[in-house]
Amino acid sequence: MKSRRRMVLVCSLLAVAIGCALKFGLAPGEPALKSNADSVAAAAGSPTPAVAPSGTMSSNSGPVAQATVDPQVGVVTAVVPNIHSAAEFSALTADVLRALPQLKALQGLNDEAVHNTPDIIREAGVALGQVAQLVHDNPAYEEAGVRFYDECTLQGGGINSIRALCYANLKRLSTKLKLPLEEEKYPADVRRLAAHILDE
Amino acid sequence: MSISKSGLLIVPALLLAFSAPSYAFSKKRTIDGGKLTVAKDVPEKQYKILEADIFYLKSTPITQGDFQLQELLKLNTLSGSTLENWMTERVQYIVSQSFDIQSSLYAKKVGYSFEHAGDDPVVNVPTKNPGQGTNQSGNVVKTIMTNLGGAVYFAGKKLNTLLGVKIPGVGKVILTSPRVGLLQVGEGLFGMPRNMAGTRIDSPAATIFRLGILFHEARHSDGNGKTLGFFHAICPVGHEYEGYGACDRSLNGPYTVGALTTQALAQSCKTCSVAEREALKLVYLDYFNRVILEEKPTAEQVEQKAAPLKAQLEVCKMFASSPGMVFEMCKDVPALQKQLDDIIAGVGMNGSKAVNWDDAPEGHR
Repeated sequence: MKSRRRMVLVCSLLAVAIGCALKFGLAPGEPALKSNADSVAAAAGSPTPAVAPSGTMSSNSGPVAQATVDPQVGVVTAVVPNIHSAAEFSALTADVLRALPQLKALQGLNDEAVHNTPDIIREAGVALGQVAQLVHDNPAYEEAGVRFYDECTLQGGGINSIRALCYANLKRLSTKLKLPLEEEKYPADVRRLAAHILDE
Repeated sequence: MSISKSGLLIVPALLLAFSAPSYAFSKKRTIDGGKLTVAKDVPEKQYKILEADIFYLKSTPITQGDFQLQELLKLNTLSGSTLENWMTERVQYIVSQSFDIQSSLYAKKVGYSFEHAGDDPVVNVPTKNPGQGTNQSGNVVKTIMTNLGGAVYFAGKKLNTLLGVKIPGVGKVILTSPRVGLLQVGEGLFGMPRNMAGTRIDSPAATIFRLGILFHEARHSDGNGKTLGFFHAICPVGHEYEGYGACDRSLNGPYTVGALTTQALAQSCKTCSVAEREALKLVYLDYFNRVILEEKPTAEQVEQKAAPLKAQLEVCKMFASSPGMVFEMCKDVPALQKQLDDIIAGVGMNGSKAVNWDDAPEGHR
């Protein structure tokens, strides 16, 4: 009896991290313990794991990628595509737009994989970062940037955090270029989320 | 029995060798003067990266952090040093992905008297299918970081048993509070997005990303009773993480902590490029998006409220063509219809709004 109780105790505890209860089950008459263990495992479900990249996000698909080195710290700080014209920039942004992950891609991930920012979103961040860097370094791309950010914000089935980042850039660029912006055209929850970064 | 002079020296050494685990002879790996202890099973490379991350945090002037972060973390001043203190009050031990909790747990005291006994947090089981080891594309899920201490403490509390863990290279650690701060780090923490190949893992942007996760996990060491561990909520219907246990119903939970610290560090980063800041912005927008500010009424709640009106309208329609049958309730059918439309649209049905949770810790470390 003592060893049985001990076994149940150990099994319940292990469920905390390795899902022991799910794997081995518990004897009848002990459902409460099992559900506790499951709950703990779910709560702790905290494993904050990553998934090996599965998306197709790659902003280097067009023009040649080039590493930039910060002379002060001596490390590679970003990899920005080597763009020479507005046409090349537009081609790049079209590629980025096509490759941005959709909502359904998130729904296909493992529960553990979404505890922190999933890789498919991080990869989108890198691609959007390259666009932002190019616009920042080359004012000639700003107007094309406005068109890109507008499409990105309005993309149906898009991920809100990505759309909010695009909306914040759209608003900033529109203000800078004195272009009218019909705010109501963009979803309220996207605008609300973008408010976190609008004053940066 | 005669023992040689040299033998006398050997005996105590042998006794010591048999009584102590093998790792007792290896040097403890610590960070920041012993505030953080890193288990022997954590690969040396990961240990060095974590050490550099903490050094970065401590030595970085926080020039852009706003009052919201200071208030959230209850700090008198906002600096790298005060942030580091906040974090190390909640994180103390770091074990590796290969750490085997199964063989490391032990019961220190059965029948232990826990604070807030019987007052447990609500723990929801995700409606998604977790823990298969792969995602739907078949890729292997790699652990990023887990607050094991909070989960083990809660498991012990449910069993009225004070639990301890044996950590390689550290020894026995008793979980008297989630604030004992036991984190598990995995390879996922040290991975980089595929399209960032060529970017160094120790770049400030990569460091800031990892620190944000560390702060998120540190928050899981807070709370008491119903707020113990700041456990996540299941994201509601309509949310992009719908069904996953990847949201917070508190305004001061792990996702807010992760978002605001990542934001402050990114904004204060002098060597980050525009591209890197942009990528970090998306990370903290993703975190902000997981805070459920207001829980909308469920479809069942809406249906429950709408059902009587629907029935009423059905009756009115049924007798509309019978002039002899006039019901008081059918005198203003358009008004009834509008009332029903409003209910279906959720007008006047306020959901529960997110609030700050009590972050005072349970137990003592």
